[in-house]
Amino acid sequence: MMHLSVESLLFVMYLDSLFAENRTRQVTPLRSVPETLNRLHAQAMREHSRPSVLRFREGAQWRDTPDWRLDRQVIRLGLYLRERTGLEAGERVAIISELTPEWFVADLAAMNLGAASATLDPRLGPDQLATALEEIAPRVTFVSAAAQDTLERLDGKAPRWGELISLDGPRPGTSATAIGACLDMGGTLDTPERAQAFRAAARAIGPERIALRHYAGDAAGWRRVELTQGEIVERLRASWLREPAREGDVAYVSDPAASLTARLAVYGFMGDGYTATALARGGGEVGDLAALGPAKIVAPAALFAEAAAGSRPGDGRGRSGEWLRRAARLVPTGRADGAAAAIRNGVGNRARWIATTDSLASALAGRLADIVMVEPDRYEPGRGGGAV
Amino acid sequence: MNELLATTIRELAGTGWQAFQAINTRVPERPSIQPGWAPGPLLKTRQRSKPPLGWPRQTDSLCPRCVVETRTAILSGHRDLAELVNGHAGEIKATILEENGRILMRKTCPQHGTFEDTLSIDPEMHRIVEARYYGRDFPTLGDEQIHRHGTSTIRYGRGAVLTIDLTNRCNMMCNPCFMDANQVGYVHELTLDEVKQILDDSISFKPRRQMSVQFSGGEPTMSPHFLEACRYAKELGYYGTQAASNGLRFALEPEFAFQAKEAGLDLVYFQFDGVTNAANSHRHISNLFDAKLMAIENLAAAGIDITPVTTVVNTVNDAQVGPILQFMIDNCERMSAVSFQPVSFTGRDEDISDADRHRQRYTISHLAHELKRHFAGKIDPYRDWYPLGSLGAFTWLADHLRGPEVQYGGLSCSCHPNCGSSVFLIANKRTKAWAPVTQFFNVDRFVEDVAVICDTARGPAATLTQIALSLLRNFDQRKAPGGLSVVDLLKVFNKKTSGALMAGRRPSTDWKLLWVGGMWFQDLWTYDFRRTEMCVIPYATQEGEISFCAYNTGVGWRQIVENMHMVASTKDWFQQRGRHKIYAGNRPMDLPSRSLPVMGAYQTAESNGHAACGSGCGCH
Repeated sequence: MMHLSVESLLFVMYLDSLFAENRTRQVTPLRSVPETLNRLHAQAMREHSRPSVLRFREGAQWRDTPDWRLDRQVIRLGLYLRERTGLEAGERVAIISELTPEWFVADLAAMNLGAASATLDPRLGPDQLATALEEIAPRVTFVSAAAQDTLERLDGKAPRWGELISLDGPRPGTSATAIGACLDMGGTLDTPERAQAFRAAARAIGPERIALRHYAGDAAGWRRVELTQGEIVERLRASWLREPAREGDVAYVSDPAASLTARLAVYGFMGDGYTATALARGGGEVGDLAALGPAKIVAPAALFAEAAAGSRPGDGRGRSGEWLRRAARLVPTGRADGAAAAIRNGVGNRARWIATTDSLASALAGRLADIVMVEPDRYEPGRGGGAV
Repeated sequence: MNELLATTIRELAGTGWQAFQAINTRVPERPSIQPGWAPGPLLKTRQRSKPPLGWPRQTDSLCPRCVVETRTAILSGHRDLAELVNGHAGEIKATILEENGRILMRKTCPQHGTFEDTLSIDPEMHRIVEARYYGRDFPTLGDEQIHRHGTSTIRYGRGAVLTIDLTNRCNMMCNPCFMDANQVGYVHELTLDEVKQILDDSISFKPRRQMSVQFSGGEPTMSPHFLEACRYAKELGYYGTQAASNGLRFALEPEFAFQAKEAGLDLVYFQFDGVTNAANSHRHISNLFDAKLMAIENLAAAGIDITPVTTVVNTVNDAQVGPILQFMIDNCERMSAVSFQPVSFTGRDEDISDADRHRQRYTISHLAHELKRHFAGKIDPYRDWYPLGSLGAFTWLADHLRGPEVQYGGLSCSCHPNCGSSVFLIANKRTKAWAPVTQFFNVDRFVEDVAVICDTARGPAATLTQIALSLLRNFDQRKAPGGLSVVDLLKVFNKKTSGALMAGRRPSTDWKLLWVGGMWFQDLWTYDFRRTEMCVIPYATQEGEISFCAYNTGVGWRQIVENMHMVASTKDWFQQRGRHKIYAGNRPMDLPSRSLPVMGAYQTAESNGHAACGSGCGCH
């Protein structure tokens, strides 16, 4: 200790002027809940306590998107949309994609400009996509690679989709602009004057402005849901009251259908200032749960069933040490306790809140409810909207 | 602490030191360790080389006219770049001499005649500063692909600050400007991949450097990659990240300051020319000081350290150096340093007339005497000023203590003694009481002690004992500012070391170390190749690392590199990517209306006409 101390002391005497003191910024996320999603976003970007707001998997590695990067990307894409595509408040943007970091940037950029953002299930067929796009009449459409293939199959039935932006990088032979190119251009447009004007305009969007559209098909037909900026925040507030965020929370969101439940959950995690949201990408979800040990999980019911079925007590890679797991095996447990432990293990050992993006079998729901809070307010298509 | 007790401790430490050395110097020296980062064993004092110092002496310099002609010919394609690398374009001999109470550089070009300029107005101070130089760092090894710039090649040392110009775009139109930003007709802007490559290359040879990366420009915050560049530098393990910034972005967009801090920005090297709007008027924004105050507020709120940097031009803003230092002391809770940079006539100023050049020439000796005058002798030109290179003693000691296993050498500021000098102050954040450290601490003797400690190279216990004895014997409580004791000094260092000195406890202290630097960059009239080859603040570019002065002045590597790697003409850039705002024309900036609680005092004082001096001298 002394060895290091004196060394540091000498070093400091020499370098004091060149290097900054490590002042820690004190933040208190969610001091108050603002009226609109845009203001909530601005507040969370400014006041948060987490190393990253988003996490996503690239191969075996989890990559982080800190708040500053997300905010900058939203501003840059927003500036591009405003200055290069002419997108204005009151217009609509379609996003045909799973929930990815790029989706989130596009979604927030559109809503900050006062446009309504409609996310469409990328697995929809050409006819359904055509119908939805016809109804949305977007100024700009963001597409994942898979959805772009579907769009190209529309041929003669081409609806109006405005400027096409690819979320997965440039694709030769298409008219889509890569989102990377949009962000690059937006980076140059990102001056303090424009950035502040963008923020001011976003703050000025009122709670009554339609922010979100959602389309989904079910047995009742093809339905549209619309939520205003204010309605979104109200729903998030209700959810936070049931399960407040905590320092260090990690949320895991897996939803290939880009459901409304998942979208709202991601807004809530971003807005609480504490939660880092890990977005699943293409398989390996059970392993992700074990690796991340999320406190909050949003996923299809099938994932919870799979996680519960594939786990035994003590299997998980939770935070407890190996010695603790060995000790746990020595303690006799009842059958019910064992089942609960299996579920807990299956969802990463730290879960305390889950939401399903589709119907949960009552037996599994009961078992889950014994160990975590199951979000009762699933946002089903049909509420707040009408048939298309 | 009781004065008698402090004196007793000092005397006992002195006796202890003498007793220890009576034995230590009779035992054969131990061989120096060879850490993995170093090209050889750590150097003993006698092994460290020094450049030729004293006067009269001859050195290699440049003809101000030949250089411009050569550069123009290369840029127009009439001469080959290889002439710069392999030849001696524009080089002439120069003599450094004392004449009429000044130190001068005089040189004669067979074609363009004789050129003369002032290096110092105080030969005695110049002599003392040169005498305090500690010696060069290691010669570099394995850097052939990084340092390959002919006679301008850097040959020594680890460097201290690695400067990377992210873009030549700027949102101001200053005079002076190293790079003639916005006026050269093209845009030179690094991609993020290029920035990463440059940062990777910089740690690829020996001695492996532990540097502070300074992103510069133009205005670096205009680069879309600024935040990501800070992040990457920190991820690689560089000691710190800085931005050489005019601060406008931080003034206009508080969120950017917070984001920069999160991305890894530690310090803003902050353009700051005076403590009134009038003193900043040569920057062509009528309310620039108001903008500076706003930037300081936002940066401090974000936890980013601030080093005001003043380009001092004689007869323009030389009267501001005292008030600026007082401003820094008054705000020492948010600033740790101030850097005065005597003007270098380059870039936009390269065509200056001889009359204007002689009138506006400012040297570190000017600075030392102005601060002495302003603070009524409290800062002494002969006692308090040390070459930046003297601080190399502390690096060598740290390297010695850290042992052979560490991956990086300490940051070494072993530049030529003519490149810069500095004063260390200690200040009380609450009462604002302050004093030069050399007023109560015998730095000369401490540096001599360090040489003995490093040369004998004993084990950790013996080394630490010697350091403790040396610290105690060189601290004179009687001359320290009121209220400062050894315990306070210990607390200052303890806080800086995250509590390591006091077993994790971090008792608060009102005292803080401050650095007052004078960094004198060369221009074509004062150019000395002995300085460039020892540069510790290189520019890292797509064409390798180039001495600061060789890049900005000298043969003009900046223009050459930027021309080779320009990405668009300014006109095309604006057409394709949109214009950015440029604040100029002596108009005010439209600033966000915010109350500035801490800085409010300065604004009020200025509006009442009381801030021009700022020394508390009672002249207003």
